[in-house]
Amino acid sequence: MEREKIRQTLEEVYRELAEPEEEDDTYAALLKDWDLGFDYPILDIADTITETVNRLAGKQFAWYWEPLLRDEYAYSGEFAFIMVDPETRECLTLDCETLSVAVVTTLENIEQAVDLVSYLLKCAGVK
Amino acid sequence: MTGVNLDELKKRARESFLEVFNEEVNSDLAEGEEPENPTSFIRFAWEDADPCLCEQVAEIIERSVELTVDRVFLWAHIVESADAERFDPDGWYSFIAVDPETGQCLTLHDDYRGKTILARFRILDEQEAVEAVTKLSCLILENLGVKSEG
Repeated sequence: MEREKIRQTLEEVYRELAEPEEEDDTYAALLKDWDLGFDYPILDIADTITETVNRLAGKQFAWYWEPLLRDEYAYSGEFAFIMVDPETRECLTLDCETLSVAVVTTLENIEQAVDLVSYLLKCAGVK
Repeated sequence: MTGVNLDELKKRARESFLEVFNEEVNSDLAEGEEPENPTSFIRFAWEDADPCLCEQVAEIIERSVELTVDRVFLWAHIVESADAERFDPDGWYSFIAVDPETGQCLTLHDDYRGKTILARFRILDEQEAVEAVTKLSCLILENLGVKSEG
């Protein structure tokens, strides 16, 4: 999948889900301008990723995600995602080498978000 | 295996839970030290908001399920918090189990929102812990094609 297509879809999905008021309030800006305190919009960030994958794959996957904590007072900027195909029950984020069921990655800029969506689409068998 | 008796499964779940609990919590008692009671251990983890003990409760549930169904799984669990800004467990735990052989998610089921991969339980005492082990075992067996009967 082309990176530009993924970037565009991330922005479209973010506008639909989060309904930002300003034109400049883009998904790229959201990731760039974050501070990791508890006002950090984890829901908008993660839901945009999962919905973008669903949309580009043309399929509704079953998801679990969570933000990882740096300490008691702040997020680390990392997220864990688990993606399951509801028809086959296959855990698509299972890494057979590490035996981890989740993909854990940092989401601090739009390129990392594109990398993650691209990786998740590969897990789902989308070229 | 084509079917499993529910009463038998409940009995196995209770036995497994107590066995794992005693292995994990009561195996290194000093002489004269009283063994820990499951309900007070679970309640202490919750009331004291101790993340390590809450993690231990979740791991005891996971190991108990494995013993009950005699299979090993890959797990993820969530100790839920009532407050996003600090760890304040509300007694709810969620579990995700994956079959390491097939890669299938064995906790996938329908709930009011549609398909979910989380099996969620409130665990505040021994009885609720055993119920969680029983229900989680049933769900996993069902996803493995084994029906619970009775």
